[in-house]
Amino acid sequence: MQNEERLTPPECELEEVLGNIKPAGTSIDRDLLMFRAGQSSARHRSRVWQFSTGLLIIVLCWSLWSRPMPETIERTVYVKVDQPGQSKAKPPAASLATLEWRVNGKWHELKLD
Amino acid sequence: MGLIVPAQLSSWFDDYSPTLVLYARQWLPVESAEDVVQDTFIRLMSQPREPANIRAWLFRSVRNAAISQLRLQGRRKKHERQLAADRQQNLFEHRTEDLIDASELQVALESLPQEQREIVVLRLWAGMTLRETAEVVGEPVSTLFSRYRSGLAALRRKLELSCKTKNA
Repeated sequence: MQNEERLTPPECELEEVLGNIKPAGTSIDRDLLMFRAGQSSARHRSRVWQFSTGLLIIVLCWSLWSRPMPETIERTVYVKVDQPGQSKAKPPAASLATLEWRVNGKWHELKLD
Repeated sequence: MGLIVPAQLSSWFDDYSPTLVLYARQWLPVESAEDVVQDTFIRLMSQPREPANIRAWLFRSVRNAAISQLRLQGRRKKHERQLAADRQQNLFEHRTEDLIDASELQVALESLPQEQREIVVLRLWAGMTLRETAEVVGEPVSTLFSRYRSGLAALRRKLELSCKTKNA
């Protein structure tokens, strides 16, 4: 024991004699204690799972909210419509209508049959 | 230091529960003292890790819980009546081989001032070093040592025990 050297020999002997006397036993129900301790431990662990699940839900919601929006591509579509009386010529049998549009300054044409 | 397993708890319960109850009975009657000790073991099991010094942790927790409960009770007179009735119950085991009668020791111990009695219990029956005792009580080692010596001297006077006489 610490500072043992500072105790006198009679004090050491008294210490030894008194230390040999045992405290009375307790009436604590050991089984009940172990059961309640197990419950307490399990409750603590389930809180860990609840916490981690909650955290995952928050992360998932945040990632859905903050994800980049889909890119919008704007296109101008010109539809060629024949003026009445301007052209009497029949359109070629193969194409009934033609669509033209421009993307990035380049003209594209689509013939609809 | 990992998680506490039930086998460890069981072993600590066997080793420390009688002394913890003895310690708590300085402030509380026996039933409340046992409740405090039981709650302390349950709280120990819910700790995320095993405390570095389990013995100091247990005694410090019991001390804090016992003092808190004493303050909460408030009804001081009722509490004192309970403690007086409680003195009928034994603090120590009666064994024929012991050199000192357990009842006499109980009377002598209960007559000590509380601050001396606390150190004597921690040192003699909990087997703590003065440094561990200081950790539990939160006071300097030198103060505790002088208190301990005074407590031993008072016990000797009460028990009318002389080490030399016993050895003779």
